[in-house]
Amino acid sequence: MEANYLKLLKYEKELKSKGKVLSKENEQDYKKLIKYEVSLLDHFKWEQKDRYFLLITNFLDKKIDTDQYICQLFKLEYEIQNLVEELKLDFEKLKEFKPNSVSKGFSKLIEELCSDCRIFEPDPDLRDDFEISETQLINGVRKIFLQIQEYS
Amino acid sequence: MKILRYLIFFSILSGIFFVIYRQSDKKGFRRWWISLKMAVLIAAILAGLVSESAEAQEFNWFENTDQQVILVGRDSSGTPSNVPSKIGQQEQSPSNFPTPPSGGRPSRPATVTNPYIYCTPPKVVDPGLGAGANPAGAGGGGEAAEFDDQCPVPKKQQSQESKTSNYDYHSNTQQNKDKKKKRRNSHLDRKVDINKHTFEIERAQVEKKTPRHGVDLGLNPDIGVDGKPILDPKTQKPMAKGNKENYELFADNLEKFMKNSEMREGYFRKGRENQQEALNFYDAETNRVASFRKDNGKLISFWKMDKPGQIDEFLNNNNNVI
Repeated sequence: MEANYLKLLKYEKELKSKGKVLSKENEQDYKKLIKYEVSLLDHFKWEQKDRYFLLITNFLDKKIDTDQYICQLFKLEYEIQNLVEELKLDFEKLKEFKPNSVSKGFSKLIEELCSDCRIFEPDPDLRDDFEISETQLINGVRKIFLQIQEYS
Repeated sequence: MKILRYLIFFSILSGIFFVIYRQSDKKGFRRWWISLKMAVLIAAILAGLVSESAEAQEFNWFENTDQQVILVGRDSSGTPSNVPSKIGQQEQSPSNFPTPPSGGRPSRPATVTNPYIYCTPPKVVDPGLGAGANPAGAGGGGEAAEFDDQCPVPKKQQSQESKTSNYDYHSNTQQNKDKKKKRRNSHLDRKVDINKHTFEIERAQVEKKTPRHGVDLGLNPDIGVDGKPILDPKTQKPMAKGNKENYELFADNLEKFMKNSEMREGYFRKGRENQQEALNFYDAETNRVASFRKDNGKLISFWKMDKPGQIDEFLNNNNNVI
């Protein structure tokens, strides 16, 4: 990873030990730090793209229902997030780590899948107009699946 | 005099018999027999051939418990008495009958099985995730079918699934209940004025958001029977209990949060299904955000952004991707 990222990460830790937060102290630096973290996530999620493909295909082929899809998607997300957090703790490894440039933007697509799941409301009586139905959820998955396939 | 009574008896009997026979849902001889028995009893009582005290005893002529005619009495306070909550369920004691709360509808007795809680049968999933890629550790190197028992069926979906049956009285009742609940609690909606904008924190939305996002607004996590916080199956974050106190606290804390955070004009899920122009309240210190619709000021949601992708999108494009 770029030296600047490591520097920012160290700075964030330093502030934290003083009871301060980077996001409040310096939004620009925080934005940069977040950008680096997004690139890490891009890489890790892209590495697991086959699992995402399989999950989505299972869902679209109705081999799993909506609940199982949502649950497995979030589980995968959680697992990858943990991998990133582990890496962030190991500065030596992080120094050597280089995200694959092909992976750029992959995590954003996955985030959109998760976002759809978060605002999915199956019950029409309880659904607000900013929430989505099962049909809308499936359509969203189809749309993103096409974009994800470009990464293969 | 007695002959006259018998004449009255037979004339009433024939009339009542045909009425009961027509109304009966039984078939063949049974229909005829039950109608006759009922008609004889009623006619005898009306003609004065049988004392009325025998009525209650003789009424129970049906063979199955679920066919009993139950006489509903009321006590002095008007509360129904001696009525089992489930006809045909012999073990239920009369005390299980729900007593109406003052000024409200009767609540469902706690002892009755919740019809919305059930398990969907396990589905066979393509095991292509492989052993290494299987977070639950199930499956045999990609050969065995995987059932992810760590993924419980959320209640939301359960209600949807219950609707798929041809007719489900309980699920319809629940839906009606939810609708009524939404209406009933609308008087608890609150309005907040900030920066010349009026925002509306609808009670229905508060009730929806409290369990999943309440802990991020300072509510205590709900503790399970194992003494550990109950985690949201989606996000693995601790959940708050959905009760009246927590709803109030959620709304109070949200109001405080709005007053102590920065308001940014932006979007909610820009470019996605059902995107909204929004006014977002953001707290940089905690990365918490509350979104309100720009057109009517109604609360969309509150949550803590914990993913770099969410934060990046919010900070750079003022877009809340939730």
